[in-house]
Amino acid sequence: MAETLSTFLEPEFLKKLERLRLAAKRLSWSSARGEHPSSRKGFSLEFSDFRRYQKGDDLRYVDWNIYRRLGRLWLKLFAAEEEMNLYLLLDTSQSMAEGTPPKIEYAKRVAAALGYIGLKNLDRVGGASFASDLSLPFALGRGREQILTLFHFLENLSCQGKTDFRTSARAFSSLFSRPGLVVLLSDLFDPEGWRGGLEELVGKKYQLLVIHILDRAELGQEVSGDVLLSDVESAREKRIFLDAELVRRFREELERYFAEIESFCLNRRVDYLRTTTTTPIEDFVLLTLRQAKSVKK
Amino acid sequence: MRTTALFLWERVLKERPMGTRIGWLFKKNLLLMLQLLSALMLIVALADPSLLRFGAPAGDTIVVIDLSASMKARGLRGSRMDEARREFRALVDTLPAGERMMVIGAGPSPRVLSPLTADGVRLRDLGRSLEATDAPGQVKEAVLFAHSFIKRGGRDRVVVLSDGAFEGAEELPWHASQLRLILVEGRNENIGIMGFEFRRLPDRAEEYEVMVHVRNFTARPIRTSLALTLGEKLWAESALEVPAQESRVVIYPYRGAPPRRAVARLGFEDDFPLDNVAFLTFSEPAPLRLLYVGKGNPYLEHLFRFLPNVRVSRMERWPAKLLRQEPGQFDVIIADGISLPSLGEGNFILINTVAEGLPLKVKGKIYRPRLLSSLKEHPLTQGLRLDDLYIKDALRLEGADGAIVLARAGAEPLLVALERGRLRALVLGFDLFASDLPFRVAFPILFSNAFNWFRPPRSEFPAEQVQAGTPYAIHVSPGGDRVEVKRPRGRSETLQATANPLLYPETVEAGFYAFKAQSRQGEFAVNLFSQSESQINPRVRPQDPTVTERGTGKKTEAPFSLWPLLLAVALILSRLSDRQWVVFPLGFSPSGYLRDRSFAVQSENITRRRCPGCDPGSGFLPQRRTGSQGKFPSGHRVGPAQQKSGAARWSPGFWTETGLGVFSSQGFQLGRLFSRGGSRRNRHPVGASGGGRPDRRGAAGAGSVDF
Repeated sequence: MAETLSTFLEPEFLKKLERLRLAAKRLSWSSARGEHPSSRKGFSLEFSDFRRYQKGDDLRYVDWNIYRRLGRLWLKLFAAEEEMNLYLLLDTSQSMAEGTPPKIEYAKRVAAALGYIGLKNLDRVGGASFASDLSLPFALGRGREQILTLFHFLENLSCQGKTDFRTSARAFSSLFSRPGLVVLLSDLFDPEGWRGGLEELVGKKYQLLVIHILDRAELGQEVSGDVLLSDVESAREKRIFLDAELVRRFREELERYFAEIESFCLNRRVDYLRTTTTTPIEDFVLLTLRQAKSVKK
Repeated sequence: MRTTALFLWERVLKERPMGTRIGWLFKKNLLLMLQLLSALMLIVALADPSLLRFGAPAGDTIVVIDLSASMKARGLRGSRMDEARREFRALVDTLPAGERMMVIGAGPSPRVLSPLTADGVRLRDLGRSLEATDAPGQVKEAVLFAHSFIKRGGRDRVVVLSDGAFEGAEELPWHASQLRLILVEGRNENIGIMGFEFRRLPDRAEEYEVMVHVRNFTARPIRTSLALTLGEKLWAESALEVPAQESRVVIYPYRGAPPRRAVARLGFEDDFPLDNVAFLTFSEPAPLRLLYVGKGNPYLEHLFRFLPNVRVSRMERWPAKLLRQEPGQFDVIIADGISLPSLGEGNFILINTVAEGLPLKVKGKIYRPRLLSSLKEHPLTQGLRLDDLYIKDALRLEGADGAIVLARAGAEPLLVALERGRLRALVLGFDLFASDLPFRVAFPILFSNAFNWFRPPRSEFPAEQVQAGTPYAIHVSPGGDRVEVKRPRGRSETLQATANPLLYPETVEAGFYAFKAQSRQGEFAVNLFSQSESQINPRVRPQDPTVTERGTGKKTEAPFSLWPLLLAVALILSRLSDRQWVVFPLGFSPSGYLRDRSFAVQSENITRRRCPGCDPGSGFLPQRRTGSQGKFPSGHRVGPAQQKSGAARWSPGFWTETGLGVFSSQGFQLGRLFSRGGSRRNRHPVGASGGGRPDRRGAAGAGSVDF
């Protein structure tokens, strides 16, 4: 099975990914030491501050140079380094199957890249997919085996059903109670649930990175005339006559929809990236993704 | 079309303003509307509309057609009247539907030849029957008459079809927008006879002068011959040279009894032959047949002897039976002091008596009436003076309506004129023996006036002629009520004489007229004799922008037939609605949609019969854009499909998509097919290839179904 398992990414690209790591912006989520600097003082190699010596402090951290010059005991403080939980939350509703290439394929590759970065940096990586509800969750883990688990998870994803992000987010937060960085990969075509789902996750203190994946065709309709619109997730149909005015108004509405999501994320300090499937995956991961505060070189 | 953002489309549609929705509905059905518009254009084109004037609806047209003698002059093709008829026909042919035309003939008097009508057939018939007269025309009066029919502020117009050779042409406002002259021109060389008379020398009984007045209307002197024919015999012929724009009067002496007819003729061939001939008739006037009924009156007897051409009969009693049997036997009846029955028709002089039934009653007698000096003006009182007339006694008369009191004494009428239909009467309310009237000059004058009133004298002794268009007075004998008139060209008509004299107005042909009444017959001649009419040069020039010159083709209001334009628009619209790529490059054509559906049905039927293995829901359509439709080479098996096409029926709920199909001798080769969706059961992609299903988005690969 291992021989047939897709790694989603080219080996050369994987090497480039090793230079990236995920950044934790918040307080420590885990008691275990890891690679991520914490706001807590710890015992990493990275100097953080000084403070007066107090009884019981480890004398190994007394700055003897200061004692020699000033005759006072000052203790050197170092930043604590903790491990980070990375949750990959993929939208597998029917709408993610649309596009050229399908958006789900793009999402899988981005998820693979992020999972690989996390695991390479000794982070714990877990995740789940969702459509109308949460499905195929895989538990947090790290190490080489977790990479295989991740690839298995991604390979087994298939798109079907309607999107209900709110319900899915609620199920996710109850299933993965440990704080961490949640990377949401979705087209967010869930007018009723995207806001509720994001608020659910923000409310649970997750650090959020929303990667909004769209197909180029979704951004602008090129057809005109009498058109029967068929919703890919529901059986609803609508016959309309497409003209330039209507297309223009649709694009404006689409921009308004995206702006609403972006504004929400900005207000909640949620990293938000929007991409289309035509953007090369390497460009997105190596360039665009670095714009997010959750990722740094 | 599949979409992931239907909710956004729904939002957009909800927010669409009403105006945009209407526009959307319009655009949605644009092609259907184009087809309807195309059909409408075809229907309108069949109605053959024409545009007379851009931007403004045209009103009624009142055509004044010149029927004067000058229209008989030579034109460019035939006579000027022929040209006018052609122009009139053109006007009628280009009369827009619903627009009306009135025709006024400008002959001797303006006459409505056709009231306002839109009946083209009737107007064309009228145009064919239009003939110019030999009389001077009153074109200016006809134009003014036509203007009285124009609605104020409307778009009505007057179109004058004329040669412009009429009096007052230069005075008409040709610059007015409502007036247009279509000028019918021709050559203008003319010389004509303007007068032709026989005069009796005053001091010699059997000697006459023959006078011929010739005028040259051209700008060069003309040498011509002048021939006089008296009766049937050529009497004189002489050469004559008339300077340019001048007249010559030729007088010939004539001795002996005048002939019955005389004709003067010029030998020059000009452009207006009508005035090259003049006619004259001679006839001795018939004697005045007079009947005196009474006991005898020496004063009257004496008077009758001196009156010329009077034939008197005498009776003592009223000849009621005779007059009943032969009412037209006498021209004048004098009743002197006798009682009278009711009078019917005729001319009467009633002396000291009144007949029954007249608007005059006798109420006794008056003695020594003193006549008032003032007399009423009347043909009977012309030159009459009755001052200090002595009358011993007279009838006390009381006049009613219809009685014209010529002279009165106080309030009592003494001289009364009566005129009722064909009855004329002079009533003297006193006896001639009881008055000194017979000894006065007024006596013969009064009776002479009476005889002239009863039968007016000839205008010119002894010739009988009138100008064309002038009514001729035919004196009818009392009792005669039918007069037959024969025109120069042989046409006869019978007239009812409701008055005496009978005025015959139809003197529109030059030549000799013959009339025949109950007891009288005669002839008279009709000539043009009009310098104004013989001047056949147009008085207006075509430089005037409102004047259209015949033959130049510069019509100011050329009607524009709209049917070719409408047909072109209809064809363009039809093509537009048929070519979906023109309007909607990626869109959908309702017409194509219908065609697709019907073809899908027939394809389904064909597939079921010919290809049992095929999906019965499959359908094919040879896409019109391939250009192969209707151009199959011979031998190719397209018959069944085409037959099915005619019998294709509507199948609700069926939905298919256009694709590419090619008929060949091997069968039906199917290229690309791709589904557009439709009802759910048929939304799957369909294809041929022996019933196999092509790929989701086409590229099914060529397959074939044997038809």
